[in-house]
Amino acid sequence: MAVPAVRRAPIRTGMKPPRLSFLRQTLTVAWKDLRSELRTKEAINASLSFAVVILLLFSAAFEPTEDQTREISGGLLWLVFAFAGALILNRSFARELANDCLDALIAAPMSGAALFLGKALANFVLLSAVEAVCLPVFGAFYNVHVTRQFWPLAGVIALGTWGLTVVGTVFSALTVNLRLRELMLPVLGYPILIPCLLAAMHLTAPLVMGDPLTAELAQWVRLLVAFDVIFSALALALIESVMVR
Amino acid sequence: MRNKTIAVLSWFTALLLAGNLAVILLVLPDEVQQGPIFRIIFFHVPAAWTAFLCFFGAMIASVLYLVRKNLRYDAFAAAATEVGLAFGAANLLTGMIWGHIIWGIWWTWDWRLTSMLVGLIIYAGYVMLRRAIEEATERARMSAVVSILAFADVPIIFFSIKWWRTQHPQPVIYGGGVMSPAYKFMLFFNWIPLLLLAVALLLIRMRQEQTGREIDALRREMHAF
Amino acid sequence: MFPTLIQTAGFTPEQYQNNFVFLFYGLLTAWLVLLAFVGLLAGRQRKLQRELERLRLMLEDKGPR
Repeated sequence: MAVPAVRRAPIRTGMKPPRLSFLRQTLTVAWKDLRSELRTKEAINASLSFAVVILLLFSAAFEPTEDQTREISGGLLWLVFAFAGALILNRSFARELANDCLDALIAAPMSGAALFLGKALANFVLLSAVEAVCLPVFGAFYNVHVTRQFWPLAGVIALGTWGLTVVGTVFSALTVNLRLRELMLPVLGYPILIPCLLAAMHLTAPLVMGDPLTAELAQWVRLLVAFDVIFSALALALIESVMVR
Repeated sequence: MRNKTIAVLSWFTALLLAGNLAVILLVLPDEVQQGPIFRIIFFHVPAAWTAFLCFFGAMIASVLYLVRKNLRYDAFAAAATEVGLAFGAANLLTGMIWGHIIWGIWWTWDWRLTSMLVGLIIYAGYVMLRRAIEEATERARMSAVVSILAFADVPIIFFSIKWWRTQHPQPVIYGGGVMSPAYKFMLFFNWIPLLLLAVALLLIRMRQEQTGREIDALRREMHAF
Repeated sequence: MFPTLIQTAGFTPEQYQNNFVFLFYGLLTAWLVLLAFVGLLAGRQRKLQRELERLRLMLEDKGPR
């Protein structure tokens, strides 16, 4: 695929502000990942099938018609997102192992932060796509009204997915060279994600039932935002240590 | 020199512990509501404090490793994490036994026990990661990153699980109310031998890391011809 | 031996005994965990020492460079 050429700044205005260059690097990486994934659709298909299977298994474990199940279904939804998401996140860096692409990326003249952010963005889009398909399936299986509080629900899902993505992408980079990569990513990532998942579950549960968020749930929103901010900052700060020897 | 330090530490710790145990079992009066089982707090709580101190030390060492690239810091981080895991496990198990006496069940999702469990699982993952990487500097680098991310998560985990559990009926282990000054003093005083024990174990474990590196060096020398 | 028995409210002697027994189980557990860790360290130390000796012997066998 053609790498977009860097635009030369006009001589009289001097240098281009560096911020735009960083953004371009990030978007280039993100677009590359998305294009390569959309070409084969391997991870998305695997992830979607896995998600549907998990939803089926859950309906075997609990009776979907009972009121209690409808109440915990918000939590179940996030388990589905977390498990199915691991497949996508794993592939994120694993995809680059063949043909030394990972080394090429690390050696490329862009900061590790741009590479990380680009991959995280691509993962976020892919995860959101899977979740967008899961949601109506989930609504049908468990007879919950996912559209009644649609915008708050979308907001919560976006915040939670970003938390999943950031942590998952860091650990994907970390575990890429390990033999037990598929095992180590969930083992390391899920416990760290517990606060994010806890908050997302507590917020999603009333929202999928069609109830609006009450004031006492505001602390979960704050927690989710704080988690996203803190771990995004940490990931950006630490990613160079992970990738560069 | 190091051997002597460890020996002196161990003896001092043993003496202090014996003295404290005598006071705990024979001298201190019973706690009114919970009876003798409450005395387990003198090991249960300081073990948790020790574990946290260890994990905090591991994080500091990890940051220092990433900045200075000296493998001594990595050895400290690995040792501190393992010692922290041991004390955390002691905290968890004594908490479960305490809970079993007070409520008749082994696990009650009390927020402190649950948070400690999550923390221990995270650091167990750290140990697993170290086992999975063979090259020393790569292992040091990766585990340093995990240690920093893990410790950053610890306060968030505690707050989130505390909020989670306050939405459900809360069994209270610590009995609420005011602790008598004699108990409070012993709580802190018993922390001292536990800390000394942690330091001794840390030194031993750090030396093992160093021996491990010597072995790696010898192996390389072996295969060099 | 334990004069405080009288001070504790609401415990039958049997419950008190049980309570005390579990206190000992608890203390035992705490120390068993730490002892297990020490055992782990000792075992690892032995393994490392053996490996070190083996490698030194092999290097000596190879003779001076």
